[in-house]
Amino acid sequence: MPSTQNYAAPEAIRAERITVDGTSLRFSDATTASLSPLQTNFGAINGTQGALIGVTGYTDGTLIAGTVYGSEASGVRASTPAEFSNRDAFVLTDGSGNPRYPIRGGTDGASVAQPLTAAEVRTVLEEAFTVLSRSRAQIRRPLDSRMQATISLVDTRGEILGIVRSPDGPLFGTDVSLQKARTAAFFSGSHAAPELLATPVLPGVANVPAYVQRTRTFLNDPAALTGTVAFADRSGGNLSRPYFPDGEVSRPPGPLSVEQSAQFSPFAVGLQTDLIALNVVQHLNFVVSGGASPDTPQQCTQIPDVTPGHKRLANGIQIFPGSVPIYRGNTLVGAIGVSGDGIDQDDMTSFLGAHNGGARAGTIGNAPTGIRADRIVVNLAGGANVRLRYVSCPFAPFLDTAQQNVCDGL
Amino acid sequence: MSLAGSSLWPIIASLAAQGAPGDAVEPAPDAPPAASEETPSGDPSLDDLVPPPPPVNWQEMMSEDLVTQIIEGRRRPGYRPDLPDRLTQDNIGALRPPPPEAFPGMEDQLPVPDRWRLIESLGVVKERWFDPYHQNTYKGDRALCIPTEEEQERRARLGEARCKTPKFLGLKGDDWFFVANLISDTVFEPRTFPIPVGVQTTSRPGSLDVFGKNRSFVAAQTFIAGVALIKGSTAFKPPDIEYRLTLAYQANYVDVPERRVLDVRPSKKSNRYDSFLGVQELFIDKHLGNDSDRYDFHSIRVGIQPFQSDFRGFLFQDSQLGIRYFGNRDNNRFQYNLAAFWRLEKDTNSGLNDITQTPRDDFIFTGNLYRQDFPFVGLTSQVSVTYNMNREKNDVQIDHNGFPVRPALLGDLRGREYDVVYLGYSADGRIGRINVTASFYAALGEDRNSFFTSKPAKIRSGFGAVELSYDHDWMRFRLSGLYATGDGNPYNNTEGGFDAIFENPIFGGADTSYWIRQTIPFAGGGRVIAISGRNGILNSLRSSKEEGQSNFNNPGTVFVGLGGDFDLSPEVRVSTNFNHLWFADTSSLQALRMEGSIPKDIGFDLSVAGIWRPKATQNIVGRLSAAVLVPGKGFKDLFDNKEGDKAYVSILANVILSF
Repeated sequence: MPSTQNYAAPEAIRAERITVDGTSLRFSDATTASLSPLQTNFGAINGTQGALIGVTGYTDGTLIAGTVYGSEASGVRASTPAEFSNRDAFVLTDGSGNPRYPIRGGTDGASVAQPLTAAEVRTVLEEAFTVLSRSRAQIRRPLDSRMQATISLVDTRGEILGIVRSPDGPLFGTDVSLQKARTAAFFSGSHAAPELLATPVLPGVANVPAYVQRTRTFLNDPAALTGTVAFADRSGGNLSRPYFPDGEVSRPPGPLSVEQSAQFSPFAVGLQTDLIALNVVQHLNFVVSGGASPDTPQQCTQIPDVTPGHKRLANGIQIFPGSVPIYRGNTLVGAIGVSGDGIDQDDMTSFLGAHNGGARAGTIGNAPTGIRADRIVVNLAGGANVRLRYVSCPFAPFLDTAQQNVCDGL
Repeated sequence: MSLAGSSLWPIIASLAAQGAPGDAVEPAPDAPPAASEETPSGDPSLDDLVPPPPPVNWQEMMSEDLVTQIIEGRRRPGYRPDLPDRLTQDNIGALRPPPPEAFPGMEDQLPVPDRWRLIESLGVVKERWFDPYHQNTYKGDRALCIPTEEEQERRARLGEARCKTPKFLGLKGDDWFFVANLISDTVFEPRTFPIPVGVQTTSRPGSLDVFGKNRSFVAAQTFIAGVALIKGSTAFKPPDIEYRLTLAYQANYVDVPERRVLDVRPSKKSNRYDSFLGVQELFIDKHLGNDSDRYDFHSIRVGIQPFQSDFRGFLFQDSQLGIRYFGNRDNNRFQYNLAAFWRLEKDTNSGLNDITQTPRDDFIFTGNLYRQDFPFVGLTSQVSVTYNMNREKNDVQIDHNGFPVRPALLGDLRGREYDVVYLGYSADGRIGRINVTASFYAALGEDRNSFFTSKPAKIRSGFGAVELSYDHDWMRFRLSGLYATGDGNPYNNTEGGFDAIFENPIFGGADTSYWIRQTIPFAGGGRVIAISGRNGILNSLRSSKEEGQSNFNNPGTVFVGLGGDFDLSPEVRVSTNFNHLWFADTSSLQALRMEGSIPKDIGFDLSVAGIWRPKATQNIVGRLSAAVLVPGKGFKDLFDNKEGDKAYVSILANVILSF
């Protein structure tokens, strides 16, 4: 709070003005007035009260100016007509004017009979962007602001086939939308079980292969994670909660969560953190050793490579909603992930983007209803049963109509 | 939320009114104009007593004298007969008639120990214990016998049954009455309302949106059993003391199409059976004294008792633990109440009083004054001051279905307390031929923690409701309007939404109407919050009408209604209601839904109800009603359903059997 003096967020847009199912988020319980008299001059304390220090890999200990968002140097800028149809869409750029992830067709021709074409990818991204542009933001003030988010599309190998984002989408959503897309593609694909089983065990730290059997036992399905079910990220999220179903504290954890509910913490959520545990340790050693110990390589999960230097989960998985797999008929061809403005909005943008784009292309679409994860019913102790969810599209989602239940029947 | 609870209040209120002849202080809650109770047919002894009708041409048969004459002791307005000279009787040497003792054997021929037994002695009616309608000792129609030795001897001598009144009661005197009540209330209620699908799991695949299927039903069976012991001898003199106990047992079953509506646990099935035994009345009423020779009186009543703040139950109408000092003055033209209540917890699914839980930290202090024929003849006015002191800041209450109710799952989720004073004026009666009932309240006070700002906020809200009706023969036509203010800015330090303490409005069709009867979960803005509560008209965004706190950050209510009551016969009444509802201000809804454009229009609420009383009494009452909510723009903007239904229905089938 002292550091935001003169730059504090206006009250009208603070998180406490955001409600989620009626509950307000928290912003701060302290006020500037309740603190001791504040120093307003950094120069007066620098070097006496403390000093700037270097952190390997992050800063050399000198102050640097920010980069104007949207400029070429910031790495994010408006798209050009050659890159995307809509000027409102922003893309990632390499600092020299070249898009980092230009739209392209699927790279998985070796394992998929008919990979996504560049035209199909473009159509789905365009339709998803249209849905995004019409949608009402859930976590944005003033009310009735438009949704702002990032959309990522990947093939079955997790390779990026395109990333577009709205101008004010949160930047972290770039990474998250990609995680979501890769998670949906991975768990809906036939390689999920084999690759998890082939992931090295780190005794006492992470046992990734064990999750396969836990999942198969939990779902009472020996063929689970071999591409028979379409998992949206919401479905995998259901299985990743420390209690299953979520919130029912007398029940054991989901099979992708920690083994004992009490072990759950933001630093140990189960498969998601186990996949990257070694990478986190490697990076910490790099920082702490001042660079003496090598940093973790890119492609930072421990699952095996598909092709040398390429993994299906190259930036980890995500366990909250906002992505769906994409199918050509009954064949998985990729996945779309969205992150930025409410998980229900992210779900809807992925789902309707895949549906509308697929309908326009006429060749691809969402998973057939019969193989979606919401067909899975988990039997629990005491005779109870719980169905997994696929997506949850929000109430009154659009700014231009009062339409409800917009995903119904699709 | 309580999706099964039905309002037992009218029944409880009617119980309290029974067998308490002097307890006329509280005006009845708009009892519908009672059809005059017919003489039961099939009883020849009664038929014999009915005089023959006059001849058709009786007017011609009368002489001019008869028209100008008057009956002794009566006056005819505007007519002054020529009076004859005053006569003074002077019966010199006249003797008193001899006393009864002068006639040997006469004492055996006057066997009427009290006037209550006179009618039976005359052979007009034969008491039957199971018949509540005719004279019945168990319904307080006749005094209890007192099992003294003389009485038992007298009975033995006359060959009557022994007096069975238990001796341990220690009753003395010949004016103790006993009243038993037994009521069966059966409700079957199919209805549709927007129901959100479960977040963690859904009932069926393909549930990809917020709103699921909307068809559900409630079945509830309630038995109410009460006993009262009353001392007091006449219809005019208030009873000296009354002891009363009323228990209610309800078994209810609800079936909804979606998960996590009836229970917080997602794995629970979407139906629920529950039952509960509640204490609805438990009080002692002591007559403290008379204030005039016309039996103006003052009394005190202590214990769980019904109370109603105004004529139509807008502010507080409940059976609660309290102490109440009440009475009347000026020939019953002034009536007054001073009362304090400590609110009991309610059972979640039945709405009955749960005395096994510590009472709430919520208190009501109220005083009111009624004046008859003021300001117009036929109109009773009431002024009231009601202070609701809520101290539930540190209270966390989870209902029986696992949903938090205090603090409500709204805004900052912090506990809160409030002080609010309701200043009220109400009127009931008629002005000329127009029947009038009206209530106005200003709610002033402070909420110590507005859930929007986490700061204290002033409460400044208001309420007004008026119903005008006109009777034509067997028909009554009603025009009603209601306005409850809504909060205009959730983030300022004033809460402008009106909320009651515990409403049970008899207005605009009452529980026949959709909006009053049904609870609408505020999906998107707090799925465990109700837009308006069950048997409530105010859009108050409470966690529960029964267990939640009053909420003054609400959108308010605007209501206009046209209705009619048609007494087709003494047995059959049909009522219709055409209502339209709006929110007064949707700012609070917008903030909670993160949706900046919510229209005010709730929609049309159309209903029809048929009431059948096969014996033309209140002992057997059947009711069937159906209501349709045709959503307006605001409602459509808020809610939908997966079945494509354009309108929502509320059907209520209800049978009440009373002893």
